[in-house]
Amino acid sequence: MSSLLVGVRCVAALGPRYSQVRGVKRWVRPYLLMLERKKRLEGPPKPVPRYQQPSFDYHAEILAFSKRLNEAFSTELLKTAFVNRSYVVKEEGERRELGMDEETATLNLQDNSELAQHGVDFTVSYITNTIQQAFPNLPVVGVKAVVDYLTSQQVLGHIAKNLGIDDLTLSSECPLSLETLQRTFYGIIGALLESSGPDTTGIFLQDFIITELIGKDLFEIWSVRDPMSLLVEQLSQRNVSPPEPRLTRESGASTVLPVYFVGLYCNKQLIAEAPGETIFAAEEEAARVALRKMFGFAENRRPWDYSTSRQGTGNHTALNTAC
Amino acid sequence: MTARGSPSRFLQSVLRNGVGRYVCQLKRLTLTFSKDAQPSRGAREFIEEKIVDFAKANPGVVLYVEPKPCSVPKLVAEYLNGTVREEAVNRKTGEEIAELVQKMASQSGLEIIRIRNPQHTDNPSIQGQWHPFTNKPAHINLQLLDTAGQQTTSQQ
Amino acid sequence: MALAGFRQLVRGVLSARCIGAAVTVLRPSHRYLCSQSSALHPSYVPKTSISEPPWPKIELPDSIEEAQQHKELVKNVNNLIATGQFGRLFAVVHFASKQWKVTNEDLVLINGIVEAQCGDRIRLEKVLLVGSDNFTLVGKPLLGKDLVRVEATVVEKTDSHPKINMKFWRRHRHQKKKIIITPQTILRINTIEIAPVLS
Repeated sequence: MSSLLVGVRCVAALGPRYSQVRGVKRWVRPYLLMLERKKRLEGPPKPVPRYQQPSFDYHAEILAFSKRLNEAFSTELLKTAFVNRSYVVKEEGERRELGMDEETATLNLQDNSELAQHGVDFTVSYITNTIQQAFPNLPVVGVKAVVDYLTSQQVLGHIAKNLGIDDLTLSSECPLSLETLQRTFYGIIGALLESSGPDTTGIFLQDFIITELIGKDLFEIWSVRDPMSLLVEQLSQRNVSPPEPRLTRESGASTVLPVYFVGLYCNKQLIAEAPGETIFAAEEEAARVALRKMFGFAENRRPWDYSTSRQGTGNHTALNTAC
Repeated sequence: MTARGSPSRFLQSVLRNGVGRYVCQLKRLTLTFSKDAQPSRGAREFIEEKIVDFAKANPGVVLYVEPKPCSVPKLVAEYLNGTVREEAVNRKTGEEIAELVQKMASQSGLEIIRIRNPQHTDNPSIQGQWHPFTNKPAHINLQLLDTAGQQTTSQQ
Repeated sequence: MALAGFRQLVRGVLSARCIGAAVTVLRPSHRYLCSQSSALHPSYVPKTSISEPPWPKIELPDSIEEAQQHKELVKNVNNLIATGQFGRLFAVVHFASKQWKVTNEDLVLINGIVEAQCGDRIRLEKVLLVGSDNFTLVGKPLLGKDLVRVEATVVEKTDSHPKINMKFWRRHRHQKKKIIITPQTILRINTIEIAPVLS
């Protein structure tokens, strides 16, 4: 800092000043410029995890976390769920550096790898079952694609950040990576599973993970290269003749923005109709519309049942008839 | 300022709150006040009388109280989506602070800027969105096919 | 000829003012004077571009048939509702002096206070219309409370953004500024349910 103050001359005080002298002093501007230069040199401040910032009581936060979600977590399991392996390694390393011997250096903390494993297994199996029951016509590939999307790092990271999990997570990295957030979320699911049982955990998963499907289209989640071949396959499985595409409407064929409506007919019955800029695009879109109708994923399907009287696991008979 | 001059957003909620279960979006409230100064009088009243009731009514919110020498008592609210909102509570009475705290607890952390539309739907169309070909009879294209042979100069 | 022309002129003028009476009064004499008297039906009007309105003529069914058709329609719709053969439902709901077209899982912003706490479940009673993919039920003006049930949850109760109300009169040293903040409530529509009680 002394090197930055080179331009600022120190004017010797000519005797004590008993009254204030008004006006902007000459030394103010160089001082402020010096502060700016210092800030620019050092760069932005390093992010610090919330539990190392003032006004944070870990135990109180854990209790509030479980109350906020309206769930009865067991406190020890929840605390274990937030501890990541990297945190334990970092703490033990720091203790050893401080000169403590091996016995006192080892932390008595269990990390969340076991709970996370339970959480992953339960989540994947539960969501697969629910989606299969809700959309019985969706093929295995489709179910897997949907489940992969719902359990992806992006989606789970987004949910974790908006539930306040990133404040309570103990980890060596700051800011937290999506992988850590995902693992911590699975750890919390595991903790909830062991505290409250599979039914309650199932309802929790429905409330937070399956709501991510709202407003999403099937083919946004599941990328299908050739919908027409998939449609032909599905129809042959149901012993229906392959579809015949016919041009139903067209407009502006010689303009910059033509529109063609192609309808797919099976046994002279219309199964789907869709528009497109070229006839091929319209045909592909019509195949996609037909697939959506067949798999029960149309936009105007019966919405998911989030009522309080639904079951967590077991038979979703209401959903079966609805979707 | 005007609508164009000021920022705006669409109506949203954090993580589809309300669809599955309702989650109170306020996670932490820190009240910094001074033990002796006059501007903190309302804050002190609030702490003596109202804060315990509020804490009991909202078990999902963690309340922190920091008595330290400060000229302006502050209320810092942290929300689940990461927003931090600071409000100065000097020259407010205990009741006013209680109302403010209640209001903060019922807010979500989304920005308080102009909301463009008072509605938000993910499924705007149920019976199918209208396009110029809806409800038009299917034979209009057939007519074109019939007369195409007769037309010598077609525009297409 | 001049007399016939004069009669036609008078008829034209009179019919411009009061159509029916003037025509019938002059009709017998006109027919007597006319060289071509039509032997066709007295109310025959030859087909021209303005003899009929351009829209197709709708034949209304007589009341017994209409009652029968209505009964069949009601039975069909009741069956559809009872067997659950509908997908997503939408409703037009009257709330806070405005009408909202609403479906499941969507958000509504009310400019005002709703007397319910955050997280409470509310039933919106004034439903004007309910529809699905294949049928729509239109109320006159409201639908019965036993027919539809629309439930919503209060998600958030905030304040609006600060709206500036300012008056400035240039060169008159007159300006006023007022910042207006109104309370707002956000509702999340949870469910719309219908029951097969049509009659």
